[in-house]
Amino acid sequence: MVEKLVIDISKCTGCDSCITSCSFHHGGEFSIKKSRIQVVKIKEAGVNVPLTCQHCGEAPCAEVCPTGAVKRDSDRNMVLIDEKKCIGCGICGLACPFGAISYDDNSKIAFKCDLCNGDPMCVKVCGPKAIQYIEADVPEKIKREQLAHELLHALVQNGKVV
Amino acid sequence: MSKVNGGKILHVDLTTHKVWVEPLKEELVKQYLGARGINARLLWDLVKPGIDPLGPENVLIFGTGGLSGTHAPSSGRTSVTCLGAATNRYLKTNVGGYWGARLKYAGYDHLVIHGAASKPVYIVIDDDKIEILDADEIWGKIVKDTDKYIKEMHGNDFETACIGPGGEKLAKIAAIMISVSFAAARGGIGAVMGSKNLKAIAVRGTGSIGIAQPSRFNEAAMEARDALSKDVGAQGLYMYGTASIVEGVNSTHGFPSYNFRQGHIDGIESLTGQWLVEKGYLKGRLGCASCGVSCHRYCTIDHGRYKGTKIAGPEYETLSSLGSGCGVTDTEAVIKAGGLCNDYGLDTISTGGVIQWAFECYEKGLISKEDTDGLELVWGNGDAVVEMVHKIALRQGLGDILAEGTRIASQRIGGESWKWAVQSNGLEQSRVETRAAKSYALAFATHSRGPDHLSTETLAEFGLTPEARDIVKKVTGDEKYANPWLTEKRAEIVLWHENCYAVTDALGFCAFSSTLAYGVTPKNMAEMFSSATGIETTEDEIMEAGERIVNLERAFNIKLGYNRTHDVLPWRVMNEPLKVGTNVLMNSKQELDKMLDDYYQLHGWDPDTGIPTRDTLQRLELGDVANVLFADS
Repeated sequence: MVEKLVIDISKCTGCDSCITSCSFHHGGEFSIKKSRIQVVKIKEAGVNVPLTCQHCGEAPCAEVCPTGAVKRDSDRNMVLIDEKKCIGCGICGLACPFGAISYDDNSKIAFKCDLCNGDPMCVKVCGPKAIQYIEADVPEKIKREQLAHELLHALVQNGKVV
Repeated sequence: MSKVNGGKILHVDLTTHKVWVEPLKEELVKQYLGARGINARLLWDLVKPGIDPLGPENVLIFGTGGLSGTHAPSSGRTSVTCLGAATNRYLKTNVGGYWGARLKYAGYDHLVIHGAASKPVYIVIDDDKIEILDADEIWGKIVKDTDKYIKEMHGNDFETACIGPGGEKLAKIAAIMISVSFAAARGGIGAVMGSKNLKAIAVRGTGSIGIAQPSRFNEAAMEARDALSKDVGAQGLYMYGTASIVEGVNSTHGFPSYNFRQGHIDGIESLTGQWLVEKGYLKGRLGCASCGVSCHRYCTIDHGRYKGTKIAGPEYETLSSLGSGCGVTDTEAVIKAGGLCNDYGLDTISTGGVIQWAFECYEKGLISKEDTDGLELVWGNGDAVVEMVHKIALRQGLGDILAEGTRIASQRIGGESWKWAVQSNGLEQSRVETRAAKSYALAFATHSRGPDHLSTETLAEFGLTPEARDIVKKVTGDEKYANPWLTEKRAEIVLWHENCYAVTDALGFCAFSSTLAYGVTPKNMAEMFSSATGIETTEDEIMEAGERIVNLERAFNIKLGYNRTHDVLPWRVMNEPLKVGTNVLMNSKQELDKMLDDYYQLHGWDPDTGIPTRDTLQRLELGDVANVLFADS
């Protein structure tokens, strides 16, 4: 069973641990700019939204890459950038609907989440478990179970079920 | 310079609009670690005795934690230091949020504000680009609108430190608000920023922080993260915030109520963290930079007279200061009043402290309904608390006097009102019942900034957890001293905690990781500091750095003329008993004197004067400080 990075916005506290750990893991430095995950903070609503690569099934970044550097590895459910093939044109970043691909000023190529080769650092440091790396169909299962309980509650309220 | 530091101290003189950068010397990092420690050294060097805290000679020093910006757990805190507006003595405030880490990413470990602008300004720090801009458009705005303006003008990725109308109007209970909802609160620090005509400091940092030994650091940081995630106290803080302990503290008569006349209040349920969750006020949990604990709250009121209120908090302290202290158990009034304090940039502890003092004045006939413009300051009237917050921030009517803080207000109102002014050295005491906790009593009497829990949190004396009992055993030799009603061995407990707290603050850690939850130990901190900076430091050495910081802060106050005679507690907690069941608890002069004797001796301070001896200062490599203190001898 393949795994997937699953983000629960309601649990994110906006602590930035994922951001700084990501850049540290990949380059030995703590930096917001060099991180492959970002958190958008909507302070007036008390809400924090972590955003990173979704490793899309039909990945627009891979489709537009002129050199074939961005490719989907279906077996591991990952979209990866081949640093040797990347020419740093930035087209993949334009195509990405999540703003998840950045450009490195030093190496002059694109970079994005690589799921830390199957053991994501952001997951390890997320205290409230807003980011999890779990079997790909688990989120749907959780949603179905939640919905079932809500339905049951509604039916009980209406006297349809005792 | 070690890679984990930005390596620079940024100086901004608002009188001359001059900006300069000073390299951060590695020796400073070695001796004082960061934030609170290096701030204290800068304050010692820059502020001379006899100046006006609200004059241009005072400096306002922001210090990022030594490990802020890294993934060390709960390491993102910032210390802000100056000569206190309310206290006219050493003042350090410590605050969470994201601003400090951003300053570090911009390349600066510390920011020193000198002088005063001739008209309102704000500072923008965008990596190497520093600008002092006209603040006419935001002067007068509340905190969240100030933040909004700066983000609209400069970009969403700027974090702000700013004052609200409270600081602008030089309220001596005004805070500096960081990242909108985190308060560098105490001692009137917001008034110092206001006196410099400085509305806000916006920071964006796109740089990086390096680590001397990355894999060793990662191992130490992840170990500490793991320890914290398993800590029961930290889990409670996540679920119910600092208010998770309200009901327990109230049941032991340690929850100050009715202006410290009693330690409990009936109907406590509606002031608990659990209530905020159950009744749906809690909408989110917020974490400071790199913090997995996430104790900060985000609450809203969706119905009723305060509908539409959105606030960060309320915290334990707020629920006691603006709630039980005023006899109020009305959740929504406390949430509203706390939210207004955030908006106006006021310290909730001092604001609640001065309001409950006014309630007692009203009860005793020293303040009339005429003085309050018709407000009835009677115990339990939450709406009156809310209205008084407005009046204080805007200095309207009686609020103009209360904005001066409890010490000055009691001098103005006169009579015997000084007896129920629960302050010492100009600082409203925080919400701890020292009559029922003797380490706290000793710590509150001796803190360089005044009577509160945020320089020494001696929770271990209650012996609530195995870790706490271990610490008491380690420092006193016997677990039996984990008893808050004892006066024996309190000096040992206070000393360990104050040194540990100084290290905690200096490295940017949160007390909830190291001296309350005890998940992050001095050994962990020494390991993280060593591997991050490359300055190899043992547990004992790092605790000695903490002791150095504590002594330097003490020396600063000594230089200003303070001594043993100023190590006192508020009159009420020294002269009026607290009834706990059949027990009657007090702090007596005799008892405090004995604890002070023990404490000075353990510190190596002169027992008669409370002044650190030359030998002690030299042992701590503070020989130059000794030369200043003992210049005449």
